[in-house]
Amino acid sequence: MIELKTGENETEFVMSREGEEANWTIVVIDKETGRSIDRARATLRGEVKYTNSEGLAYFQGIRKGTYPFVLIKEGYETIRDTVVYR
Amino acid sequence: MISLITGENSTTFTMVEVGPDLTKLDKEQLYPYLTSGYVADRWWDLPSRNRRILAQNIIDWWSVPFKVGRYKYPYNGGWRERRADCSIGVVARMSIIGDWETICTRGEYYLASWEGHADWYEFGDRSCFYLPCYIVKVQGYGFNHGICGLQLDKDMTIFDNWLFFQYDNGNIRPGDWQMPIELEGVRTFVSIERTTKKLKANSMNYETITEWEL
Repeated sequence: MIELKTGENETEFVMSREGEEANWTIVVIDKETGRSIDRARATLRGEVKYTNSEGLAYFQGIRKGTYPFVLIKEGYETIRDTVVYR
Repeated sequence: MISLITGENSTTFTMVEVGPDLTKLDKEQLYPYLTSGYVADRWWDLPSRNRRILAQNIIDWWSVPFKVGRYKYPYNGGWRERRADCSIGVVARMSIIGDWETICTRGEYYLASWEGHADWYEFGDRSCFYLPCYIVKVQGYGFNHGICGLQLDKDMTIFDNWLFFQYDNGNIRPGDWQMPIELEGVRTFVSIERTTKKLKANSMNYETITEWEL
């Protein structure tokens, strides 16, 4: 959703050519034990995915841009990072 | 920053366990974290504010309701039984909140009873919490009293870095009957004491670590 306000507004759109999308698999493991962490909540571009019993979650069809990424699991330090696809 | 390329990408994240917010646990939930040494191991890593909240919860839940009635110790081949005084109140509390091995030896058969209950237990026979708990002497004019002090921040010489407790008071402050500011015009002294000789035959020795005049 793009919100406009009274007066002039400007929005930059980054377009990807077909076939230029990225797919991203994340693997989440416990640093101390090395075991997979399931049901960790990963958020990218406002899209939420939960890791499965193998600690895996998939983001597909990522278009070019810069996105905030947050990985949350109760009892663990939250990971915040930026994902860049140029 | 994580860079993606066109096509397939994979990233592995290693997450660090931080455990629960100890200040939000209720008494039943907190207990295993205390007896396992989990809290003691992380005591100085906790934010000061959290440590103070947690300390007050611990004292309110495990010291304030704790009433030692009588105690007994080996004497002339039998037992000598007495009504518990403040020193026994201190030892009994330290043997739970602190590390019982600093004040007594298992097998010395130094027993206490809960007030109103017939069951006797040996100091050190219960699980303890291993927290930095010390004997505190309160000495005023004609007044000698023993209470406990739980260390809240690293500088032991700062009065406000201690939570003082004994009997049904989980936060003794200057002016309370257990810590009178002055008596007959004479100021009271409060000192933190470290055990130098464990409890045996109804006596123990200790030395002063730090002292304040109220």
